[in-house]
Amino acid sequence: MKNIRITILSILVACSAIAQQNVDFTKENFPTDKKGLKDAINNIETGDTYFYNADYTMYIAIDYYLKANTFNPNNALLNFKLGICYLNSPNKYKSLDFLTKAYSLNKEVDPHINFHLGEAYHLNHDFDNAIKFYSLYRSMPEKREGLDPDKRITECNEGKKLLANPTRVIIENMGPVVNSKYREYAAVISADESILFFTSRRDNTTGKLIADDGLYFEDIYSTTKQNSIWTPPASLPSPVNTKEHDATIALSNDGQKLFIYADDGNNHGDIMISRLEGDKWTKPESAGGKAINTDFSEIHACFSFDEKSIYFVSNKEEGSLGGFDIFVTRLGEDGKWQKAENLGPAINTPYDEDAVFMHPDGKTMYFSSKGHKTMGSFDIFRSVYENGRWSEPENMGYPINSADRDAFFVVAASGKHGYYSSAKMDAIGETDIYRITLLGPEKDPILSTEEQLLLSSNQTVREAIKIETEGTKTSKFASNVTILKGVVIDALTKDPIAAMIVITDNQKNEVVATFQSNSKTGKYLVSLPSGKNYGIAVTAEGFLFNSVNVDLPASKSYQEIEKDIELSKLEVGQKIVLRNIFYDFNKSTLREESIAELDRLERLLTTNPTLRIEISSHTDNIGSAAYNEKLSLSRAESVVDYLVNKKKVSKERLEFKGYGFEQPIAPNDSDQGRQLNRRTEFKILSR
Amino acid sequence: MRYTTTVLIMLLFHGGFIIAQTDDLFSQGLAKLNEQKYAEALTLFNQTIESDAANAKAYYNRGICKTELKDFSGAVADFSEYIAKENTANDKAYFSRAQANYSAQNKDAALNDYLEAGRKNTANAEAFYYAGGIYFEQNRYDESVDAFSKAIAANNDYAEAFHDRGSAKQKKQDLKGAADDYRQAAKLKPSLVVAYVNLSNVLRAQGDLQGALVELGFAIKVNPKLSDSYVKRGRIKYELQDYEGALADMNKAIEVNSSNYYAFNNRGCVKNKLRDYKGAIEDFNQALSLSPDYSYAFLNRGIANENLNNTTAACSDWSEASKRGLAAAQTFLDSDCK
Repeated sequence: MKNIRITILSILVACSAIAQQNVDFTKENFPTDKKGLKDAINNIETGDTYFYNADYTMYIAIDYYLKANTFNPNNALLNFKLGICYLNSPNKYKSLDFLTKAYSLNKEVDPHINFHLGEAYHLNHDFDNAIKFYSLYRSMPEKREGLDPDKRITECNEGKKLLANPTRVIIENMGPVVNSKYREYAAVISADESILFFTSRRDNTTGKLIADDGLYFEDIYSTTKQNSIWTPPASLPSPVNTKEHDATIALSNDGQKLFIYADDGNNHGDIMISRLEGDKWTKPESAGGKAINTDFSEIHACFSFDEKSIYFVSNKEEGSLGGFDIFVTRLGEDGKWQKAENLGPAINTPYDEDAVFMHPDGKTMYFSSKGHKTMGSFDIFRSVYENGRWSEPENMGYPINSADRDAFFVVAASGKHGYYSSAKMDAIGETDIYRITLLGPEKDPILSTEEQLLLSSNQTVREAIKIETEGTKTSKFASNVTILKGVVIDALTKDPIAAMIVITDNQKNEVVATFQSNSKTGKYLVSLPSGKNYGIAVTAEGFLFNSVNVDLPASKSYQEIEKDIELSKLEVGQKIVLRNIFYDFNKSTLREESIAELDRLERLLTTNPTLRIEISSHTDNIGSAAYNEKLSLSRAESVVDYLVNKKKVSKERLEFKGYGFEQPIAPNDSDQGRQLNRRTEFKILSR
Repeated sequence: MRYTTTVLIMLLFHGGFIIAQTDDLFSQGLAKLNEQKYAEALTLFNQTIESDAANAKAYYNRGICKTELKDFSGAVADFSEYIAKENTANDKAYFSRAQANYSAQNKDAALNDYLEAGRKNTANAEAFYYAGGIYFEQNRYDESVDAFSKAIAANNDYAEAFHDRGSAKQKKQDLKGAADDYRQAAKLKPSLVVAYVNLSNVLRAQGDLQGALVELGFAIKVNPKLSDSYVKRGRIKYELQDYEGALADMNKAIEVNSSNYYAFNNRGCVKNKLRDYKGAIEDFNQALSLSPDYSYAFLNRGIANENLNNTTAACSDWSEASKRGLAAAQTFLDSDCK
């Protein structure tokens, strides 16, 4: 449709060019409207102060130029300037009308008009005309530095391919509750899509000041989803939002850590981080210290799913492959962020990369690049880290990407939805936040027909048979992440607890990640990529630890598990089930996967040196009572042996008992019930 | 429908084998039988048997009356009585009892009688033909092919036997043999629409979509009122990504038979490809109103609903399709509804 519009426009322009000629703003041309001429010239002069100031102020000139253009629409230079202003605005596609008009009035209005006209067609996805004008510019003897028609032509050819095979998505404006008539952008979400933060330049910004570009200063806003509806966004209070620019970059999966962009005052961006402590956001501080922030510009960052790595974007020279690159710094065993590494040529190019986002699945990266196979400016790409290397970045395709700048794309843990901002024709403001539903490959419906195979008149056989292979294609965006979320509360009072949540890979006996529940709400959220058996230990001072086992085979698709975790105070008689203790089948031999849980128990005993506990083991009701009693006793003894012999815990502090199936905690009539009954637990005998 | 067809066949067949006798009651019974006044004929044959219990032919003709009056068990009993009394009972008596047994759903007994009829007369092509049909129903395709081959050996112009042997070969995945038999059936009997239709199925299975289109063209030419031919041709056009052509065929299929729920389902699929998702949903709804348990329509409506971003409705549809055993629906539920 757009192409048709452009074609018609081109024809009209071509036809009218015969009759049109350039009309200067002179008394001779407007002898009867001196005031109108004077006002128009004044508007042009005012517009020029913004036009010739900086790219980001050109946007302000548009209103003035449009008024002058209403008075005299046939001035080539004014139309050219309007076109250039729009090229530097969010609504770049509007540049085409003015540049084609300028071109029709005077092909030599500017030595670079062919390039800019190419840009305007390019941004309107009229790639053939764009290539035509870029080619004209390429053939010209003098070119401005930085204008690269060859690269643009390559982009146009890529754009043609991407438009011919659009990505199946549904793009929805987030609506007037979230978006305003001002600019909204840089949306970030929690892994479960329950919290959304974004940057806006709306009129209730802190201090209500207007920046150099004529817009209100940036502020950060947040909204939460309640019953599937987003609540009206609220500005984050001080110390997050200030009178200066405050912009979102990324949000941790649990929505409790926010990366913020800050200008250091010398046009050098830095990455800051603010943490949600209770119901208050802390004052933003440098994220990662010198491992991230340098004298160069750091403009974007995000955590890995386990928060043990921070990926960030910098134009620092050390290790650079050109322009802005994506780097990673990892948390050392000393708790400090290590020297950053460039992600290398699989990801970074001689051109700019930006807006890195690591999906909660721990292996998929979304980022923007001007260097890979882009259809114009920045496009969003996706790469997967597998077998020790990043896959070739894959363009997310049209209409997620356009010829304009496409960045700040984040994807929910489900892999079903992405969020980004864009200046679309249906926008409520200049740029709005959109939700993208990633449909994945087209699902093939199944056609079927009646089959009549046998004629034999009294033996007609009719059967409907399946004709198509059933469409079971799965989306490349399909996620195999499990979101475990809920609240940590006091078992007795039900008050929320600020607890440490330690996630262990039971097979490797390695701590995968450590998180903290919110002190005010007790809320926690962890994302667990499939393919592992996880032990999740929840600890808090003055409480007995609680442990959960989550087994996620690699094939497990996206799911959300809500699990409230209750912690019991250290009191005599309290019992805790040790969910991450495993024995060999029908034996009392402790398996390697039990070590982390046993070590936690040892730490509890060490930090509470007067504690005496009973270790007990229990079975299901399969087999004889005598056999199960013997097995359970032997298993409890194994735990005590480990603590005494390997961890040097005093034998006097430990008792062990085997209860067989005397004390079930669930009916033994199902696999699930029997599994719950097969357990090892400890009880506090004295403090 | 099956019964009506059966009765017609038996009428034609028995018409030539009514057994005559000079006795008055018996003759009157035969006269009523020829007038297709079966109840009256039955009464007369009853009276004949009452007066002469050894009259084997009266049993036989009463068996015919009972067959026409849908008393198949009674008919079987009378034919059996005839066979027991008539030492020279020929293949036709066994064939008649086979027909009655088949109609009484005594398929195994019917098969034995057809085979016995065939043994008594290897030229009885129909006996082998119907035996082949029962074998087919019992998924005994090797024996089915063998029986149809005997029918063809007895009558080399037996188009229906060629056709059904083709079907049995198709079941055995002998696609070339099936295609040859369907072609021969169509050659012997050009009006045999189903031969073109089934030949098109075989060609499609062999990947010869253009050949399949040609055969369906013949089928439509022979009988433009057969809705299924349009449905099948539309499906092949869909596979060839000629969606407009597929839409035209599905429209025609529905015009010819507005109760064809396959046609509505398939037209919905075509509309889905043409991004007319609302139109697709209307068609899937129509398919479900005609066949409320039609799992494919649930699955496909879910796809169209997803394309309209009606995720809740899509998941509900896939849940219904999954309940009806479609594995693809469960896959979609797992990947898109959590």
